[in-house]
Amino acid sequence: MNREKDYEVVIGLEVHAELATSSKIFCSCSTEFGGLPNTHCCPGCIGMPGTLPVLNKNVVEFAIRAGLATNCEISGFTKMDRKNYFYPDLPRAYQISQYDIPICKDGFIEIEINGVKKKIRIARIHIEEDAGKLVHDQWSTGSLVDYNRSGVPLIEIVTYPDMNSAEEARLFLEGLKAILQYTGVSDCKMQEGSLRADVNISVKPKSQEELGVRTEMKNLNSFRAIIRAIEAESRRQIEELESGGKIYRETRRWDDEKGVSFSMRSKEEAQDYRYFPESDIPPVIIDSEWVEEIRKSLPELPETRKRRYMEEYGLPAYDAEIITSSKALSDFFEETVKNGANAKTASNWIMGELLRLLKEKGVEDDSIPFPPVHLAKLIDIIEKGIITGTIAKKVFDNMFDSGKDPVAIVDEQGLKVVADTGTLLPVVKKVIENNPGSVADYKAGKTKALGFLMGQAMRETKGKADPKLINQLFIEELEKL
Amino acid sequence: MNFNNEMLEHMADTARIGLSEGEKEELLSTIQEIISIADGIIDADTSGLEPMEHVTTLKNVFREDKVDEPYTREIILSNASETNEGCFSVPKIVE
Repeated sequence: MNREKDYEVVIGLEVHAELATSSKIFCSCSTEFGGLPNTHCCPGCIGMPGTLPVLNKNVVEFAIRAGLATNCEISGFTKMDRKNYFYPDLPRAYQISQYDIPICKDGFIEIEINGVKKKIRIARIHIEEDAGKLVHDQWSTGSLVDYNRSGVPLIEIVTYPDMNSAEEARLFLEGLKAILQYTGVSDCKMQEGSLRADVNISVKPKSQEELGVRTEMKNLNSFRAIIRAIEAESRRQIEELESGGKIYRETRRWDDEKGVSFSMRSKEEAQDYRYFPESDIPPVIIDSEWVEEIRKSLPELPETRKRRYMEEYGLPAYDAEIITSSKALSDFFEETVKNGANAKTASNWIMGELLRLLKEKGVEDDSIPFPPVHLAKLIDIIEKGIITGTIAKKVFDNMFDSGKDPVAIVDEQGLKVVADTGTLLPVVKKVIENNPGSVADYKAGKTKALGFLMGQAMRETKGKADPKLINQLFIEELEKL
Repeated sequence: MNFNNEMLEHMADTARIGLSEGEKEELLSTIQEIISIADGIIDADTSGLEPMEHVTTLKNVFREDKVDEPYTREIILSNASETNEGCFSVPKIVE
């Protein structure tokens, strides 16, 4: 019998985020994504002997920003270390990382689950370099290596095992992603691998104090994969224990297509990384002045923005949460309001039509195909009564597809509201004539029938009739009967 | 510290160096000798001294976040013993 509810799932995350610097961590090569293989490289990042790594100052500053935004303590003294292992994507056969003195430690992010706040503690944030990319060509006898990503700066954020469900892990990651985007530390584009996570997971009977044996799944690169991997792995562990089996400390590979994980290598013969201080890079001293300077430059963070939206604009908590969870969406909202739109109306359009279209068309929220000023203009012409609400949705769709100015769309397609009695009265009369049943219902006191009749008139006018005027005309005409 | 054969084999293994029995014997005594010299450090009086984290007295040596002209791929690949499709070709990695 499987008794999942009798078990507690314990999850810790190691998140790698690519920093938004222009150049690599130890050399002046570009960090730009893509590019032909081995075209963003120099002797340094391909591991030629005799090259000297020099630390990119922005990497240190971005890491401090990330630390401050996640309530970490910033180390006054920090240094780089070498982590030794052999793999062809690591040209020097060691990765320059941080070992015993990470740049930031002891922070937390707060998540809210079922209305209850919970702190997820961060053990450390350290800086390190990314490795190259290994292309496994199944038709050739060798593997191919592209070093464009080699030396791209990363921060690794390590949490305590404070999460107890896939949902908590998702909330943590959403929160972290928003913070990294707001602070400009990382663009967090998961499809380009700028944010990826290793998941440590164990289960234990609820009555048991000590933690169970954990397994690790590496390099999960979408929130969806992370959630599914956690769900599947906790289920596997519980089933294993329930059937009298044992969990081994090991690394497992998650196959997102098949929805299962496979054992990779046992951690019992744990790799010996032989860490030692990186002798080519002098230590980094971070005084409180430097920290304060960076603290002052931090932008408004998602949580603060959310509260402001609720207080200043009166947005519901749910709307404020969704909009601020993405910096791009939140910036779009702010710009729309700055261009004169009513905040609640702008929020309604973003929460409704915009999110729907982004999802439907698979567009990322940082690539909204029209500028915020267009949404502000659309809201303006609705409020001025130039177009009806029904037409506005059509204009919005069109704006999304064409990127055109809503005023131009309305002009070109003749979508302006029809508000003269001369045009609308014949329509009203015709609808009344064609729908004697509804008319009788109305006369019998069923006022709902009026809605049906108005709908018919709207159809006749392709949604362009001024609803107020047409309502008034119906009432007048029906009175006469 | 007592440096034994097991430790030597672990070292050779992590460094991916194959050693003959003769080499092992020679290295074992050499390394034991080096360690016994280094062990002398333990006896040094370090009271009142700050722990040393780095061999130089330099600190905060940074470069500005600027991108330089890239090297051409021809130069990058010029030392490779084998290349394929613009990449370094290495013995097949099986996971």
